[in-house]
Amino acid sequence: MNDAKFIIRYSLGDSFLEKLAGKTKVLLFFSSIILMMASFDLRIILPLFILNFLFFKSVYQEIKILKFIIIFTLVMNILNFILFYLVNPTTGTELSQTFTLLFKFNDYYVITYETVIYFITRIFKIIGTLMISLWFILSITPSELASGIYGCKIPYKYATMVSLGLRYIPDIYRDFNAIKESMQMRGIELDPKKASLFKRIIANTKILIPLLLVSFERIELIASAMDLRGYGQLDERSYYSDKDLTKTDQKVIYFAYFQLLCAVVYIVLNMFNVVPKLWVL
Amino acid sequence: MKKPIISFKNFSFKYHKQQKETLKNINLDIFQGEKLLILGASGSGKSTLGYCINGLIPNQYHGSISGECLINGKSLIKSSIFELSKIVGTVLQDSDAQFVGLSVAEDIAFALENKNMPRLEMKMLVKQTAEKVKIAEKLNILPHSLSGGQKQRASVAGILHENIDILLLDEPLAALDPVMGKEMIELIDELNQVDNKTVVIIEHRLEDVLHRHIDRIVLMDKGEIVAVKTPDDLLSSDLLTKYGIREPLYLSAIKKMLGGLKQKNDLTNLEKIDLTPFKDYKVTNLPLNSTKNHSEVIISLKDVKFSYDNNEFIDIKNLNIRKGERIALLGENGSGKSTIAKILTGIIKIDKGEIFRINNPETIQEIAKVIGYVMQNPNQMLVSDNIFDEVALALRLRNYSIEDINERVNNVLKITGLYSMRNWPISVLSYGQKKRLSVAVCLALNPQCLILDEPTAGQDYRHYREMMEFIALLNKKYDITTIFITHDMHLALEYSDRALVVKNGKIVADKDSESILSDEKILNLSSLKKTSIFDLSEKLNLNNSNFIKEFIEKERRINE
Amino acid sequence: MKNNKNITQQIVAIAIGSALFAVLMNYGGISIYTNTKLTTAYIIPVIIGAFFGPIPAALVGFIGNFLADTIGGWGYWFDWSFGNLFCALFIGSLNLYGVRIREGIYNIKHAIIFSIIAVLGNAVSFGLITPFFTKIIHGGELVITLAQAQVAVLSNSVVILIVGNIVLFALARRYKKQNNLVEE
Repeated sequence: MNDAKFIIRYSLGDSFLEKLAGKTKVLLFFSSIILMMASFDLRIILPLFILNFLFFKSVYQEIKILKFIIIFTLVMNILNFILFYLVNPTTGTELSQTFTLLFKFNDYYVITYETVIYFITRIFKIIGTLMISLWFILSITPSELASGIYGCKIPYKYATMVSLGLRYIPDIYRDFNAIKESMQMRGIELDPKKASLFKRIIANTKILIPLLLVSFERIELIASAMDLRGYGQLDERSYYSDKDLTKTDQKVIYFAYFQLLCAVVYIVLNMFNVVPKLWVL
Repeated sequence: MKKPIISFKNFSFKYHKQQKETLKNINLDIFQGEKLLILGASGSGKSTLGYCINGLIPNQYHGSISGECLINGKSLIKSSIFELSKIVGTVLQDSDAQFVGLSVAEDIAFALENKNMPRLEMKMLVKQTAEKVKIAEKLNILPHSLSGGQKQRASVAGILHENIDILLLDEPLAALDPVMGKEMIELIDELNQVDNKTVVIIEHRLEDVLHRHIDRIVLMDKGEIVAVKTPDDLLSSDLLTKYGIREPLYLSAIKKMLGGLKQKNDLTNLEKIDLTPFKDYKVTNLPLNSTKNHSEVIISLKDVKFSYDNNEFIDIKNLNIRKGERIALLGENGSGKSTIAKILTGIIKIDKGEIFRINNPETIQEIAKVIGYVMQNPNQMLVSDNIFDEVALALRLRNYSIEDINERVNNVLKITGLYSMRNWPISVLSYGQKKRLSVAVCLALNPQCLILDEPTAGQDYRHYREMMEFIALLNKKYDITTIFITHDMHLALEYSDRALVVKNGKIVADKDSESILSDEKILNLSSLKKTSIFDLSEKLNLNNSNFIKEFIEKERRINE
Repeated sequence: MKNNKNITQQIVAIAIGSALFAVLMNYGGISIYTNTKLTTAYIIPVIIGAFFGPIPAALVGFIGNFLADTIGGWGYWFDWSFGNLFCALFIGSLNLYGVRIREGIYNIKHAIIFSIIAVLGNAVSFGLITPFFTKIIHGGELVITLAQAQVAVLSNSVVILIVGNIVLFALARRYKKQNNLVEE
């Protein structure tokens, strides 16, 4: 009960991704997600999707919530497509400036080949983004995340915010539960069946006030503890959890740079209308 | 031991926010290699004195300084916290707040990371220091799976590699159970003896600290140093009682019951005290007191099982709790005592078995009318603006009438002695008052049973006594069953009639407190320790039970 | 780094704020229906803003959101991350218009300004910035993206207005200097 089930892992196995250095994982993640966001071209999105799906499969864990999240994202987006279609049945056609009729309900609601491609592209793009996020979360430890962020030349203060945040999430979660339980004993009702929405909103403020006060008390103490051990005196910092880059790391980093380059080139070409807004065969 | 490494001369300090000086005219020299204890009740200024040694004053806490303080020959005012951290290594009281790393190894490495030390060198040093404090096999463990003692060890390791001269420990025992506390004191001693570090310990738990040799004790009260003495000199004086420090139990017993102490040396160790003058002491055969007839069962558990993630954890065959009982719930961290408390209060739903609670309440909200739960940290329980509203909250949420609320709240406030402050805001209350208010909050619902999680944690002797006497009164006058979770063996002995020892989710012992607390086998099983009063009684070949009762009785009379 | 004390404290405040945000985002919702929840997480940048200023508040919005996705596994959606960043910047700007929670200063005037800024900030962040990024990144129909954004804007605003004001007033009362306390 006190140990929340978080998706992020604290110890890793030894698959290909898991063994990479923190910096490599962070770079690969960012370059993949940026390229995925930048393009609307199935020729880029599909291979990217397949690669990242394989990455995801290699670190997949049997966790209930994961399945739920994937299904939830799929369902939400399919619903969205139906809405999009109802509002504008020829999105794809407008983007590609071509019209290939496949099916016709009436004069307005038609299905064009371009729109089908458009929806396929979009779903691969969104599920792909989710796959990238998930393999990243499943293959990195909080420590590697911090050293990885610093490794990407981001000042270590920001890496500290992330790692310290992850360090105190379990503690805060424990406080949150303890306070919630004690308030329930006092008589607040959080069950939607038993109390009105307004009452529940007020009940939540009763949990928030002590949670905030207890958490803020900590800030000064933690800051003291860090200052007493010389935090923030130098402009550079080393990380215990860092690893030396292996040959594999080097190769993956080159690949990440290549992806970044692709993304930049694609965005520039897109701005000058050199590449199609939506690629159709 | 010639040149002082820390030197205070006519030193005073006042926090910006406060009216009066927190430290007044401090004169103190601490020498290289010395092992010093700074002793004092809450509010004596002992922690503030510590902040002046590690530089949190004036770097972190602002205020006005007069007089002089030299650390390693350099003026405090001119040193940055970073410079001082190379000389003084600090272990803070709150082991959770200072554990900033994501694992033991990273926490130990934190100072080295800040120095931008190359990784190879860092790994070697971390391994060395971890071995020194005997935590090397736990390097990859996460902070929330560590016990308080292990966190403290990691914190000690985290300052060792700095080649520091001075080790400053601010209430290192606060969160530790008796066995861990003993190990911590042994570790500190080793660092002093073997590595010749100057050690400054800030504590109020004198007996625990004296488990190993201490060179000098600085006794503080209201911001001033009232005595600097060797342990023997201090123990043979009456200063401790005067300034609200608990004497070692065995000494207290000798002084109060056996007609006083003639011996002046070797007082820190019961083994070395000559007990021949007391050989003839006879305990009066006290009638078996408080054989209250606890007849009515108000809570009972049968074959209760509960598991975390399919791992069976709690397994209680049979447990009956009767009206008016005083029960101590004992066990090491992670043994399941908090989980049992949560099962009783209905926060945790059990997998199998039966729970009976009087009046058959069902929801958490209803159970609270039968069983009140007082959390360890009162700040987690207090949400309102003033005391009256805080106590009234539970009643207002249950839609009691205004007259009913006024009557009940005023009644509870009178019982808890908070009535005269009923319109005060929560923020002005002291920790002890907040603690009392958190009890009042539960009493508003008029429960038949109160569960108190570590009711005396982090409080000095006077506040500890006040709190427990108050709880005892509730039990005596209103027949409220009290169950408290504690590590403090003497507290358990003095304020409970029955003790439950929990180990791996099972109740391994359920007897009267005295027989449990004198049973070494059971105590070892759950990281507990016999108190020195037992040892004394055994050495004198007396009836333990009667001797202890007499001692408790004597102490109570003196305190009144 | 000269003023080290303040920097370390700010870093820790942002970290703790982000952790609070992540915990509330994942576990602290007020459920309306089975799977729809009003989140109270946005109170955290409000309070961090009141204590430390808008920039730390914005960082709490951004990093907190990142941590929430990291422990919850919801995937990283940068269109929403940017919305969060700006929203937190707006709602965390309390000390720019004279709110001093630590000194107990928060009055009706502040509450009104805060409420207006909170609604506007939400509308701009989730009603404009997020849909704009959604459109660029994922494509789709602007009309629908906007419509969906309005739901988020509305529910967020309601929670921030009610819970935010209650908590701000309560904290201000806690920190207010107390004089002339008499036992009665």
